[in-house]
Amino acid sequence: MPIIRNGRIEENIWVSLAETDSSALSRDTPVVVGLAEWTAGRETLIANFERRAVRLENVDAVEEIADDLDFIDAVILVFPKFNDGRAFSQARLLRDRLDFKGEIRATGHVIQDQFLFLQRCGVDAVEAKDEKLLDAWMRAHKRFKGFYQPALAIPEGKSEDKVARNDGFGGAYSRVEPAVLASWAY
Amino acid sequence: MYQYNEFDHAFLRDRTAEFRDQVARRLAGELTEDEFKPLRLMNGLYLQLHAYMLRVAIPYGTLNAKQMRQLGVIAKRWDRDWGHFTTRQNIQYNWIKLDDVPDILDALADVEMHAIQTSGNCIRNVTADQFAGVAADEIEDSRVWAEIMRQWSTLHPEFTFLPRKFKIAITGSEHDRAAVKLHDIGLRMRRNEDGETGFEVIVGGGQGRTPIVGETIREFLPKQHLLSYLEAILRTYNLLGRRDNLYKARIKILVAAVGIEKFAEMVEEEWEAIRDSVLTLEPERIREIERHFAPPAYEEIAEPVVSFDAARFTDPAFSAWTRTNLFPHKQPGYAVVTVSLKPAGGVPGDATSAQMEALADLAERYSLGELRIAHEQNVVLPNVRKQDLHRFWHELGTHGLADANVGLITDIISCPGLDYCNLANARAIPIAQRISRHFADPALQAEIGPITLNISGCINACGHHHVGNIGILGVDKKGVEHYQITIGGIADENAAIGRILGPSFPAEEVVDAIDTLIATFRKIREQGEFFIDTVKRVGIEPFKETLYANH
Repeated sequence: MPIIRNGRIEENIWVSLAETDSSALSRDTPVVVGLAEWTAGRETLIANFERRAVRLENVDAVEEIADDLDFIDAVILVFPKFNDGRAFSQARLLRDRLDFKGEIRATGHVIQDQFLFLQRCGVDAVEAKDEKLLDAWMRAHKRFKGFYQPALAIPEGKSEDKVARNDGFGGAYSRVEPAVLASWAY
Repeated sequence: MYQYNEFDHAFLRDRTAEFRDQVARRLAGELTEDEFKPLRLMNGLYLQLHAYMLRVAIPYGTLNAKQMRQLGVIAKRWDRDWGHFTTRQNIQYNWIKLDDVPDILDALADVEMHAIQTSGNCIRNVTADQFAGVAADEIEDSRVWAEIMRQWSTLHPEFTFLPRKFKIAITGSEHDRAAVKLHDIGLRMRRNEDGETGFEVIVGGGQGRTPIVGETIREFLPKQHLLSYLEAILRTYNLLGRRDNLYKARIKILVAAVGIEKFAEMVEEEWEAIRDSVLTLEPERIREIERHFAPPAYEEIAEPVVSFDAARFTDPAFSAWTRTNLFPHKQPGYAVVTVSLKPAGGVPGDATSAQMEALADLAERYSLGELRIAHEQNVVLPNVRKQDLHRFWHELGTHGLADANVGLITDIISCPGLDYCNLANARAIPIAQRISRHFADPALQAEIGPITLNISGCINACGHHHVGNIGILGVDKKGVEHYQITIGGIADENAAIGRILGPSFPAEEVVDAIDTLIATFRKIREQGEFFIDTVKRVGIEPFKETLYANH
């Protein structure tokens, strides 16, 4: 399934280890594991692969990976139903509390009407059912010009490749930006 | 009153446009009904028995004359010429067409109103003491804090898809008129030993099928921490609240499961991590909101007001009305007036567009342009000069709004019941109408004295039957509407859940049953005793015995 990130469609390059024969994978394959697999095999995973993502179910506490975040490139949060909102708090804790700078992706049942909520909780990528919906998602992204309550800043729409997360892109996310505060109507 | 700034206006326009788009997508089949439902609910739109129902927010029950007038216009233009004020300090329109909703939302936005979060599993419209800002018994004006919470909770990105709906109420007085112990979060403004004001925080109250009186998790929360503390509670609930069972998803179930002490600990731990965050309310921000609620330009009026006292002396009907429908005002020479929406045989909380128009006019002429909606489903005009009261009362009478029954047995709280609601098992409105007709005699009502009588058409308890001194709950018994009766419920600072007296009654026996309870009370009461105090003193047995004597 394609991914909407930084205002455009990206290929999903991440490979689920549980569904693949890991011996056939090269070192530079970005891999995804569940929390249990991560906890059981973190040293091996760090040694064998350059890029690693952990998939958290919404009953998983983000604190479980708090000490490992330097070794995790992306966290994938699952929405079994779009109106099960636990992942919003998980994302917020990852960005705000644990200062996670990598990608946070929403997967499962998410809809464009939630895009701003997701972004304001620190989610920067979503799995899209349909590439044709990119415009609709980006319209949702621009729906409101400001917000009442402080939360995480929303990233700009389209961005170039050079804006990699190591350039501090995630950094802008991890704290509330002055611009957002200004639109807080107090 | 809070005045919208450019940001608020732009925000509402964006929100209305968003919903217009969502309706279009639904009609085009791009959104499934399952996906559309939570979205429309967050805009106050229900699909009821006969039509769509639109629930409009009246934040903390406060509105101005212009807004009231517009509510009347909406009733006339898009509904069947009336609206229904609810226990949530909202107004509901029962006969709405889906296609019209975006236009109605635009009409609301024109007067700084909306339907945001009047339903859905999000933080609902914050409710408050309807006398906030004017009550003589108040520690502090709670509208300031209700408004701060309104802003903070509006489309909160993290708390818009909670396990279940979430209700917050606040009172600034010792005497609780906002039923704060029966909300997911209840806030009572308190003074600490140093004389500073802050909040007592109560969680886990609520009615419905598991009625629980909330418990205090913090005796005193300094004001600047209100929002961080609320976020700590909401985050704990969002992550740990049950989602497997709709009926066990409210915060009260979580609190009951882990215990109040453990829950308080979890909240405090979360709060420690965010208490000094950007959510801290700086004094200048608080002052900015406070400025919106500065007292209006009151006149200096010497008490006693001779013309008022003279009118009371010479006009017994007026005098009776002043005894029930007035409340002491902070400002000498003024009174807080509750206008009863409970005429004998009427539908509790209903107002026609003509009545809304009249109330708007009267508010402009007599109440410095302001009105309130009480959770008891009445309308309050908070700033009436005592010398105007007699004339004002006469004018109310010409609009059928001068009933002198606030706080008496015909001041019934009732949900819409099976006449409108999808969830109901039984009708509530006809029962309320019959009871109010039965007890219509003003002398009898006065003799019975203060009492609350609440009716719900189903276990969801929108009519707050659990906390009525007398509560009536509609149940379905093999396809026949029956009514279960409780007594002893209290909604104020001494909140208590009523106790069931025994087997339920068919509809035609309900009035007789209530009559029997009242007769029993009149027989066993001590001089001047209120119904609730008699129940407290003697328990439910004497009532049970007479009620079921012939069964």
